[in-house]
Amino acid sequence: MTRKQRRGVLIGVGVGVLMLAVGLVLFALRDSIVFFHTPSDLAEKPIAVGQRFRLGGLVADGSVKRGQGTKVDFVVTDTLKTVPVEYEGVLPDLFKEGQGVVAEGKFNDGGVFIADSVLAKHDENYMPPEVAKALEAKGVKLGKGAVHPGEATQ
Amino acid sequence: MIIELGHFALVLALLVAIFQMVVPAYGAHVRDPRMMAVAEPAAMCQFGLLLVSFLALMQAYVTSDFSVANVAANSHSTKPLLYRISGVWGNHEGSMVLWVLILALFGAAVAAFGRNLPATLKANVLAVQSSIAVAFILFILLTSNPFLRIDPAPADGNGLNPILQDPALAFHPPFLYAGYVGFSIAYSFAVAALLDGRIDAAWARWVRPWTLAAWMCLTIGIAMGSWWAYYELGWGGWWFWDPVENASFMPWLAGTALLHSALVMEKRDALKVWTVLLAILTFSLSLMGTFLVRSGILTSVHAFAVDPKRGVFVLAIMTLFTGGALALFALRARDLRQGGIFAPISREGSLVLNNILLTVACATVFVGTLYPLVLESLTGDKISVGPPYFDWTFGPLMVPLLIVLPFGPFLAWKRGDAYAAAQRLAFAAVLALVLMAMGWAFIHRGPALAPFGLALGVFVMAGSISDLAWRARFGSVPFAEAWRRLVGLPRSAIGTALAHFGVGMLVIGVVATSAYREERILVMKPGEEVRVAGYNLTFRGVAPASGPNYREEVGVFDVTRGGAPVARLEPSRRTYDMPPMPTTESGIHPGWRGDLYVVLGDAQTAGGYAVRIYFNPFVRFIWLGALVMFIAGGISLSDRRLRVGAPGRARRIAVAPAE
Amino acid sequence: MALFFLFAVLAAAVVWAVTRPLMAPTSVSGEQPEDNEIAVYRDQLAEIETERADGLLGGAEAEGARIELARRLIRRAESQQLSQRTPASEKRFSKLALYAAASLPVIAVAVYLAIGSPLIPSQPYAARLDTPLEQATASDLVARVEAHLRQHPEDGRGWDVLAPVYMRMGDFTQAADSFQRAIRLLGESPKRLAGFARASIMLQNGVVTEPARKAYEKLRTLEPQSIEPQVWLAIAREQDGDLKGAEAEYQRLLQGAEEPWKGLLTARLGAVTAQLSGKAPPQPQPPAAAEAPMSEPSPDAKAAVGAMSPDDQQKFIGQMVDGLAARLKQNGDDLDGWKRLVRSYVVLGRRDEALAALTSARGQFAGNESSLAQLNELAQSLGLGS
Repeated sequence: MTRKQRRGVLIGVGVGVLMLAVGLVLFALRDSIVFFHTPSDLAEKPIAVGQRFRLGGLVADGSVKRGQGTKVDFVVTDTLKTVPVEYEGVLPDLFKEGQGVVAEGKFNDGGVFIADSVLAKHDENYMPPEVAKALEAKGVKLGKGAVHPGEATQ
Repeated sequence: MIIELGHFALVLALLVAIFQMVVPAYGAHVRDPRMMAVAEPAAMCQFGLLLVSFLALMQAYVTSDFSVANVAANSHSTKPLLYRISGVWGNHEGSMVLWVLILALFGAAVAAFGRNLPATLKANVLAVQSSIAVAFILFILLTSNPFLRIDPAPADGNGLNPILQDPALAFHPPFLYAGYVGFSIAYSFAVAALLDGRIDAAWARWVRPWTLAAWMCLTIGIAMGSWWAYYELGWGGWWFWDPVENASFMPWLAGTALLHSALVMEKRDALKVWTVLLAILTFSLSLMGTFLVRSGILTSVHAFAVDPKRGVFVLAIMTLFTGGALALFALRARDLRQGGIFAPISREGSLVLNNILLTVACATVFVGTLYPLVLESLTGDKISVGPPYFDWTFGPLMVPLLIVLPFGPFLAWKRGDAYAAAQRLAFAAVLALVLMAMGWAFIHRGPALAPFGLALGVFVMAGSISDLAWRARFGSVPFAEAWRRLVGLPRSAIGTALAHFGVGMLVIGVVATSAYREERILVMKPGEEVRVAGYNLTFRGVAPASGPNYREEVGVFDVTRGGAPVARLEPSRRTYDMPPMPTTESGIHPGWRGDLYVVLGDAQTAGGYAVRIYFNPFVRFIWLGALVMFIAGGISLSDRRLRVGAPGRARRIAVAPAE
Repeated sequence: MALFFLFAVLAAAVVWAVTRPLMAPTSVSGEQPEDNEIAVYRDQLAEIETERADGLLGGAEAEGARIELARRLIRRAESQQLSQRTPASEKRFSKLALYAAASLPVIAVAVYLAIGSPLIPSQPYAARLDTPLEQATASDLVARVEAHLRQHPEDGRGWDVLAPVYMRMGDFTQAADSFQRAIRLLGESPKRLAGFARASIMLQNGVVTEPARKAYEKLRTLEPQSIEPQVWLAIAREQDGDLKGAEAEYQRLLQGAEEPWKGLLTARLGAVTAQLSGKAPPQPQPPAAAEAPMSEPSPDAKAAVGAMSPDDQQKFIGQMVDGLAARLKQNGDDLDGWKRLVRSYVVLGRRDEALAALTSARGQFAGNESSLAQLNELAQSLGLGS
């Protein structure tokens, strides 16, 4: 083989691997990205039953009810709209009413969000960034000395 | 007073770094030996000053000097000594001081051990290295100065995030930084070579030990982080494809590729352009890791502070160093002579394939990590790219890599004999195939591809043993003779085989844990018993306890197997005093077969506790594999020929009893 | 000045080390490292030799590799000859570098003085506990007492000393806790009871909590002539919705009241009367602790609130109520708290939120019949429907 041919083989292999990777990336991106929505987003733009997404917001006060075994029902709210959530499993340490959460899962036919994972991060002041941003966008102020949403309208 | 001395030392270090950046580089340009010689003592001084600075900060932490704002914000007088020390880098400011300290340490090491580097190369390397230090010391002084004081001092500090109060995490950042920052040497060498317009095989030989050292540290650093996440976060997982994890994984992939391409460059004077590019990219990815973590773009336990000013500053540093080096590369790369030629099937060929696969895999991780950030800034859509993406892209790229890996060491340089290599690997291949067939025949759960994955791991492990056996001529010479030859093999050959063996272990651990993990989530009341993976767990109840700075509820589980007691597991839920924060401590019974992993959940209204029990088969192989790779790197590094410094008179010692 | 002496030592060492090579006589070096580069190739040649001897390389392969290396060696030697430029000693720049090195300490000191704090001494925790009393700052003393109490949590006197200090520092959580411990360990005294009640009220942003009310009730029996407990008990009545009772109390207390109580009582009385006479909307003048006189008040907080514009005051008040809401979010197991919150919202005219809080409270006490009944009663009394 000449030098050129050898280089050709190398480049061929490189391009082949790259094409394979691009294909895989495109395929995987189509299938495994998960969108993030807040309850008010859902009110504006409903999501089909069975479609996976991440639901973010605050755990509504007084909404957490423990059922059979490790089943838990709660309501996620962005203080404007709410979505009922059902989850089976152990909740993270910092799962608390009034705290930010991100739940991943899908709607069932009854309009209940069936979560298969619930995240609450390990920080006392933690608010999942998506939740914080979404809430801020809706005029809910956050952070130290946070003001209740009602206040913002006064 | 000591703390102010540290502050002054940091300022002085900045000035010395500027001096070290300018004078030797100019000296190298005009070939003035005296100015070039400045680099060496300047690098030493820079390191010394930063060490003073770092120790002063550490002293403030150890003695709980709350007149230092950084200490008051991140420490507490009741914290145990170990965590008062690790608290120095458990926060943004302190960790950046550690970052530049390690940077300076590498610079000083080049100055000390690189006595036989060509003078201009050495001066340029140290000047470039120092320019990185200038950027980061400025970053510290301007945006994140840990030496600022509060007067009057508060009565006590705010404490350290309790989940960071952990032995593995105490040492995870230093190793990770040593890895990140260690690649700066490869970068400096690359830029220096481009400045010099001259690069040859000897260059690769000088770069390799540094890259190897950095790679070792990064390997063990990542492994520690993963191990910590495994037992501390209480989710039973060991890798989450979290953006912050990816930020450290990308430089690792690129660094691994660099390690292999530098080998080709050293032995065959080929792949020069590529190796230089890879050196630049590897360090750029390290900088990007720093940027992603420090900018607060990603929220995680690592993102200490969300401060846009800092993010912009690090972004500027990253752009400057990556862009500058790439521009220089574009200007000068054509001057680099292409070296030796080789056939596609040869040692070089296999290493090129390794490089292609590793860099492309790195690119897929890059896309998956940055895509959400880019998409959000472009369209405002918030998405997350989860583990399935990485399983689908990264996984398939690793399969050819692992299949080809054992062939590499058997192929000759320049032109290899694939058939002969296959023959030498026959044993490993047959072993792997038999195990795979057995897997399909006897394991009825888990994904169908899992036995294939396990077989791949076995193939890689057996392949590396075959490699050593062949080199020592086991089977063709008497055993004692073969043993003597094995012991006498160059350490780098042993290191290579061992590192590949570690890769095989890691693959087995990853596949077995992902495919065959058992998981039970249930509510247990005291006295109840549950059976998981052949173990019987009896829940004895929950008792309160307290530690130096926390209170906890400890769940007690007695584990038996076939009636014989095995262990008592005590997972707990802790609440720390300062800052008040709950954490979960898992109870783990480790074993070769796998780990039994118990997490205590919250109390249920109807009585009893939610309990999560996992059985993670062979999960220890993941970290053991990484540890083996780390040790293998150390063995290679101890090879006289690779020793920092390069060749020497005593080469006979290294190449050992040939006859 | 020991500090600057250390700076000088450090800087001198650095300047000495950095300038040494610059002052050295120009040596004709540069040869030796170049030799080492060639040694790399020599070493590789030797490697090929051993590999061949070990049978890892075939004869022809080894020969090829050797030739290639030899070629590289020659090329290296050639390029070295080309690059044998005589080192042009740049005297001028060298001198400049020397001056630059000498100026490093000066610049360093200047920069340091701009950003450093040379006058603040180190204050290690252990030493702060040992400083002579006269020199210790307030927070030193607190640190000292805290350290002592960590060792001896049963020392009631320590808590007794610490509690008012916390109060003055505005740390009401710690203050309430310390007063409570002192009461438990040393028994009730008017000072401790009043302190505890004040701390709890401040903590709850002006809401008289159940424990605070109990403390004031005890204080009233201990010191029937003191006006403070009576005023707060009246405010507690108002907060519990007993406007008539509160009005009567305010009127009674106002007689013979002196400043600062007088002003507060007048304001409260006005608010209550207005509400009773149905003058809508009820003044957003909540039971504010911050403006209430404390005989040992936090002067800063008081001054701050007093200096506020009416708007700011209102905001501040809103925040206090939100503080209560936030607390209940975290720990909802406080029926009185919920009742107070609902009432406060009604008082502030934030009816929707009152309803929301009521719903939350019902959720919290779901299954607890008596609590639910109390909540229903409250809702009815406030006209929030059933």
